[in-house]
Amino acid sequence: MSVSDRHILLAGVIDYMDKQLLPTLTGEHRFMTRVAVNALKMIGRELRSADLPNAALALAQAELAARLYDSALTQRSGDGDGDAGNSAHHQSSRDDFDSHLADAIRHRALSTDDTQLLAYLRLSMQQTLAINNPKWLAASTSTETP
Amino acid sequence: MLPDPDLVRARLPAIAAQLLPIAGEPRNLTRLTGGATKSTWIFDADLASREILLSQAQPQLQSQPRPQSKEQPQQQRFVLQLTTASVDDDPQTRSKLTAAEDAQIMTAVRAAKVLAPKVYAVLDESLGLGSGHITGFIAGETLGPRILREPAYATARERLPADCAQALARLHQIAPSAMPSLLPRDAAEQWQRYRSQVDSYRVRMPAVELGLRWVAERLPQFALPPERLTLVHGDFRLGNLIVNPMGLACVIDWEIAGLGDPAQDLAWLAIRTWRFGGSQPVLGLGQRESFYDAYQRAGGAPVDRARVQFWEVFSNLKWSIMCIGIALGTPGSDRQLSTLEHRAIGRRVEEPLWDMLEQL
Repeated sequence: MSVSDRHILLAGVIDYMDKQLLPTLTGEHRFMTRVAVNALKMIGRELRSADLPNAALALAQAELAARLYDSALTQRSGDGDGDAGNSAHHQSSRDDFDSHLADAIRHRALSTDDTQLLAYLRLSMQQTLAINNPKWLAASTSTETP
Repeated sequence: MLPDPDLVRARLPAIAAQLLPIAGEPRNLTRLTGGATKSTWIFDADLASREILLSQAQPQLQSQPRPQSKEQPQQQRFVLQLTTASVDDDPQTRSKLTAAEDAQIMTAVRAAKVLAPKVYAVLDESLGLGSGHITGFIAGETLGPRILREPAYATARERLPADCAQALARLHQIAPSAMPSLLPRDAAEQWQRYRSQVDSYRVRMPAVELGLRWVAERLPQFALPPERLTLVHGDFRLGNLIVNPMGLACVIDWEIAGLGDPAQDLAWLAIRTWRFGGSQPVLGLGQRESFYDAYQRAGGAPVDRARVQFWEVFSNLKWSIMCIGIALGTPGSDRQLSTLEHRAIGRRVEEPLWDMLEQL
């Protein structure tokens, strides 16, 4: 383990770009550097998130998988707790599951008002938005609905 | 392929002399944007007569500058937009209007007092720059965050929802039979278009599939019969509106206008993406109900709330599918984005999907 771990190194890069580089830039480079800083902040949140198992999402995924697939597939894609310590495998497992789930929705194996399905999708979106744009989640409660 | 910038500079003087009511050569040619399938330029020129200048004022736009002197030549700024020829000539499957059709629509809606650019000329391939058109330049701001926050637009912010309601009400009242060939933009056509687009992607997203099925299940309820379809802009939102300190100055980007459900135009401008952080649903500025009232007062048909809500769900779904397409570099995308920006948009897919789930 290096003295400056990945989180510290990344924070240093973001801090340099945001506080020292950005004020010296104008026009297109300023805009694109802001995009780059935001992307690095996302990566930072994603790294931190990978270290924290999302038990609620894993449970929702397992419940849905148990209804949809045979036992072998369920075990592979739904065992969230077991995967929590291995973020790459965990993500790959979720991507596989989502791909199968997308097919199941398309082929009407689940109804569009299925409460377990909607709960899983909300938890899944919530986890992704917490990384990509936490402000979107924070503001959504004040959104007026038609 | 779009022409090389040097070719545009070389050919424009002859084209402008042939097509525009100007005296002398164009000046200050500057490229504003340059995508894969569309580039936009501005240039200045002296108009040949006072009458032409008077005719180019925007309909009902009181703040438009008037000529100050009969002796001095009046300068006009023009917008040159060049597009690649459509690869698909079938109007049933084409996603965008040709430059000539785009120009016809702008001319027709302007005649109906919708604030649209004045078309001065249509360029065909024989002129050596591909297809395109030349319109009058309209001063103002298009960037949503500036319109929503800068003090200069305080009055505009008060007026913009009603201005837009009026523009849409007028647009939706134009008889489709008076228009040139219109692309189909009804709910079923759009559903099929986005279904095919998703099928072409290598990523599969359950929320996108859920949205597509949710919309498909409601098509029998919300698909309008052909006689109730109207002219629709298709991308009416902050970003495609030129706003000056007094309010709406011009509606631009008519290239996906078509024949569709007018409710889609009322819904699209209200999805959170196009509010640019504004706290209110309509353009980030106004409430839905007062917007619908203004639309109806301006002659728009009574607003069916359930229908608009259906289109808001569909709008969020459509934008998420567009984000995926941009991030994956969908062929034909004319979004002028660097690779980094393309990829960053791949991290925005969940925003409209989250809102879509909240609205189901």
